[in-house]
This record gives sequence, C-alpha cells and structure tokens, in this order.
Amino acid sequence: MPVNRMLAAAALLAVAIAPAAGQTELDAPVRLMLFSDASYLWTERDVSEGFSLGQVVGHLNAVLAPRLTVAVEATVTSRATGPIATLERLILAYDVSDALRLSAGRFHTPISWWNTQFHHGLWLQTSIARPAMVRFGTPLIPVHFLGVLATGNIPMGGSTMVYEAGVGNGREPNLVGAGDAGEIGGAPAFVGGVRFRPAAMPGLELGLHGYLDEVRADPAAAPVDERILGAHLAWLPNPGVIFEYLHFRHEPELAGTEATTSDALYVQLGYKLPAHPSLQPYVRYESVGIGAGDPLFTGLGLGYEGVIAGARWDFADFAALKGEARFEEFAADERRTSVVLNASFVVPNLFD
Amino acid sequence: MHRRLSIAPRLPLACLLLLLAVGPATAAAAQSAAGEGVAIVVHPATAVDDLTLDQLRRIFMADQQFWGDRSRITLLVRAPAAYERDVVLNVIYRMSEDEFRKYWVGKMFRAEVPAGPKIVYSSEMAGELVTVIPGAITFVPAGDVMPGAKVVRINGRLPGQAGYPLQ
Repeated sequence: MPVNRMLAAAALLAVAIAPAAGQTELDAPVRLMLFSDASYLWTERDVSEGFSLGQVVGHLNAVLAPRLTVAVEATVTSRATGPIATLERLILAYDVSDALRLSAGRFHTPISWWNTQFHHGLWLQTSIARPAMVRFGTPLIPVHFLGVLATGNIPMGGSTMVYEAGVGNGREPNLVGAGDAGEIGGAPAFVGGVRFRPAAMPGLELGLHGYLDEVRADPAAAPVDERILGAHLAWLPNPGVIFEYLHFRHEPELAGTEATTSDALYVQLGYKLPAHPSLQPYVRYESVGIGAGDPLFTGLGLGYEGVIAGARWDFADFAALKGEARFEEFAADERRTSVVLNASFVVPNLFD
Repeated sequence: MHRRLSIAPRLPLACLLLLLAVGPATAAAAQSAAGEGVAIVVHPATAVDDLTLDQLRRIFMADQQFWGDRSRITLLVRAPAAYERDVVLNVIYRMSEDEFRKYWVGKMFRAEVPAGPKIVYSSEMAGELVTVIPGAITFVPAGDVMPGAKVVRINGRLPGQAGYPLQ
C-alpha cells in the first residue's frame, strides 16, 4: 500500500498548509476540520484493555472553481506497531445543478446511512461504538467505494428527495478492501439509493439502498453474485430514533448452487434530557445473522447480537464525553460485558 | 452613622424603582424588534423576488446551493445571541444552537457543501456583505434593512405584513 500512504501523506500535508491559502481572499475557498478521540476500555472480551487513542481524522474541503470542489479525508490510526496513515476519501465533484452532482474518487459507500452520515466523525455520532454492520474492518459491507457517483437533491413540494447512483471497483478478495487494487472480478460494482425527507416531518429521513457486485473472495472458486439491499429510518429530533436493516444475498456462479441470505439490523434510541439537553442517554439493540453456508461470510465470525446503553454529555460546543456499557454475544461465544469511556472532539473551521 | 442607616434601607427601594423604570423599556424594545420581523435580503443582482418558506428552508439547509441562474448561493448567518438568529433557528431550521452546529459539521464532513455559512457579527456587516458577495443571502431585523437593499418576499409577504412567517 505505498501509493495509499503517499496519497495520505500528501493529503495531510495539504491539510497542514491549507490555512494560508484559505486566507487570501474574502471568499476563502478552503475549509478544514479535525476529528479525534480517546477511550478507556474495560472488558470481559479477549482484547486489549486500557487507554487508547482513536483515529486522528483530517478533512479538507476546497473550491477549485465555482462548480468544482474537492474533499479529502485522511486518517492516522495508532497501532501497537506504530501509526498508520490512510487516505480514506478523495472526492472531486462537479455540480451541474442541485439535481446533479458528478463525483469521482474514493467515497464512503452509500449502502448504509450510518456509514455515510458519521463514519470517521466519532464526535458526530451519539454512541461510541459503530453498529456491527458498519464497524471498521467488517467484511459485511464495502465500507469504501472507488469509482464515480452521481447524486442530487430534487425538491418535491416542500419535501426533498436525494438520490445516489454509482459504478466502481468491486470488493477485493479480502472483502474489506475498497477496490484500490482495481477491478478484480472483471465486472464493476453498482451502488444506488434514494432518500426522502418529508416537509411535514422535519428531521425525518427514509431511505432505500442497493449494491451489486461479483466477488471473487477465493480466486480458485467460482465468483459470487452479491446483492445487498438496505433500508433506513432516521428521526433526528428529540427523542431520536435510527433504524437500519441490511439484507445480503450471495449466489455462487456455479450450476447447482443456491443463494444464501444473511441479515443485519440495529435500532438506536436517544433522548436529550429536557432539563439538561447537553446530556443524552441512549440505548441500541443490534444483530447480525449469517446464513448457513454463506459463501462469503461463513467462517468469519460475523454473527453478533448486542445491546449497548450509554450517555453522551456535550460539555463544550465541539467536545463530548461518552460512557457506554456493552452486552455482546459474538458468533458462538458467550455473552461478554464491556464498559467504555470516551472523549471526542472536532476542531471545526466551518464559519468565516 | 445615623445618615448611613437612613440611606441603606432606601437602596433596595431605589433598585426596585430603577428596575420598574428600565424593565418596561427593555421589554418594549424586545417587543418592537419581535414585531418588525426578520427580513430576508439577497444580493441586488440575484433574480429572486419571492420565495416560499419551504424554498427558503431548502436554501438555508443547503439542500439548494444554486440560484436559478446557476450561480452559487452564499449564506450569511448572524453570530449567536441575536434576535434574528433565534427567529431563523426556530422558524427555518427548527433546531437548537447545538443541533445547528452539528448539522453544519455533518454537512461539511459528508462533503455535501464546500463550506459552512459565513458568520456576520452585526446587521450592518450582513447588509454590507450581501451587497458585495454575488449570490449572497442573509437575514436582518426588518428595522435594520439598509436603504436600497433587496428584500425578498416570503410566501408573498414582506416583513410587517400580516401572515409574514419570520416574525
């Protein structure tokens, strides 16, 4: 991955030098943001406990021309072997109109609401943990997508419909990759979706998503047709509700084989206390069920059921403390309890 | 000593009289500002005279980022602790201050907008910038609209007219 690291280094360098460029004119065309966090973990699971640093995430948004923008996201992740720099997103976008934006680059795959809404922005999300279906490193969904994307906002009366349609490299053999090595299977992957925000209920978003790919997880085996269908409901006013469901269908391109299906879902409730709106208790239930004999997911230990309960305290405008108890069952494992404390923040450069 | 004792009991009374005198005046000023409503002002060259409240909401939420002539919209938003900002957050955004901040951080994070709103610190600053930044739109108390400014009708009404939504 040396190319990836070079790109990440270039992006971080751009983040470092950008403020000077942004101050050269009234309509400063460069905006920067920095997200990060730190946690303390106590757990019954067989994983490392104690203090840990979260990712350091740098964002750069720049206007290259009146309709041409670029967005770069790079992360530095602290590991036992040393920090790892990664280029997460690089998006060059041209706005034809509000109804059509054409983009090329590396995206957060719009197959899951959480995946595009929060992703590396841990301060943005209410909880500490991401749902299992979109956890970093999960082979369940293609978290990133390398290709081209068309998106747009279409007014429908006072309501808004948002669509996304894209084509790009499919998953790499290890399933977690974003197709950075090119299109392995020979057939591109397709992603698409629609979201609806009704005017009558501000803060509500309903959405449907789909992803089609031909995956070669095992070069020696037949490719597998993958179809992922998703639906979400996000109600962000207080109390907030987020529900997502993903359905996976995998069918080997081999005579006599049948398709298998797997499912994942979560529902999260959050409530800002009226007397103390900076304090928000929350609870989430989630599950991942892997179909017997799934040609891509079997043997990866992806089965999961869990309940998390916690509270978020926004003690400053752009910083939050969160505490979370997790009661989780992994595949055939017993139920394990964990407690996590986390401090997260964003350094925004939103406003002039 | 005797004089001090005679003055001390009068201090609370003096404070009470001061509050009675100043209080109504302050309340009257706030009521006056609230009665005027908030005017939506655009750059003079922007070919818009009338917006519905839903269209205005789409613009302020950055769901619409371009005017009909395809020029980019630049949003000028008053800094916190101002009457007109409270009205816009309540009526247009329907968000609290922290929800508003998180909304724009999220928009930037998802690369849905190249920039957040430009912050202005006074009605004068808003009035001046909206005339020099092509495609700009802002809001000011109706009583602070500068002469010659292009005020947009909302739902067919101007500030002060019955049924104007940004009161």
